[in-house]
Amino acid sequence: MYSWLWRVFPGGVLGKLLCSLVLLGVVVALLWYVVFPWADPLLPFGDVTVGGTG
Amino acid sequence: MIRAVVRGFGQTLITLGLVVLLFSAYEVWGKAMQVGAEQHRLRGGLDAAWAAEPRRQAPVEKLVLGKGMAKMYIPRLGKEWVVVQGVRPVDIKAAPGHYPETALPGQEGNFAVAGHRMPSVWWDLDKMRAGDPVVVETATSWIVYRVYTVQIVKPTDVWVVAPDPDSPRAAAGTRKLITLTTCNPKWDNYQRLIVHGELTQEQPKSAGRPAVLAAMKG
Repeated sequence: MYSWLWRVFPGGVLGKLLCSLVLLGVVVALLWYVVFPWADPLLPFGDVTVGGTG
Repeated sequence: MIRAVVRGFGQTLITLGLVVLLFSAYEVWGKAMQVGAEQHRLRGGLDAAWAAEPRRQAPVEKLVLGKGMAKMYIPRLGKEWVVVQGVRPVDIKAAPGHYPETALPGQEGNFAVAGHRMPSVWWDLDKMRAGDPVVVETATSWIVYRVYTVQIVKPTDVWVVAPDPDSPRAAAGTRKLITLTTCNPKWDNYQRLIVHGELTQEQPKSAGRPAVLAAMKG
């Protein structure tokens, strides 16, 4: 996967490096602001009350 | 061919590992940022409500689920929070929440509060010891409770939030108590960590911050 990405990115080493960084940033942001907030309530860390379902 | 498949599999595992690592970072620092921002917002709302009506504590029917209703200070943990009304998941996302059917701070009965076991809230609640102060600030007063029991119970043990947890069958206690509930162990949910305290001191806002908060920044 990573070697394939490296091959399809345009430009020389610098261009490829820049593309990699941008892609990494996009993926991390997507995880941090979209995927993780969605996944968090599905985990059992939130059950802090007695009796209720909370 | 086999080499490519094995390499791809290895890369996938490494990637997944990094994603999980990033998720742990989110659980600690991402949540802390959210809690910080939300607490700042709640504090603004509560301060405004108190400024509008400084002479009396809002009656329970005036409290809105998810909105700030008191402030809490725990010197042992070196932290303070705005406590919101309600314990629905949406209420307590970024603040400890007051069980709506329990007493208000300073009243007879049990002021019961639930909070997340996360680093920005009650991660270290197991460090509480008998005699530790838990200070609650309302519109009108400073209320100091002293911890007398720290215990671990089952999630079904609703008696811990009864008006008097030490004699749960009593209809309305005359003791003035506080109860903090959070999940136990850390990162799991099959037990609850419970801290009980009893009111030892109450003073009007005009008398200033109680001495037990001297070590905390104002």
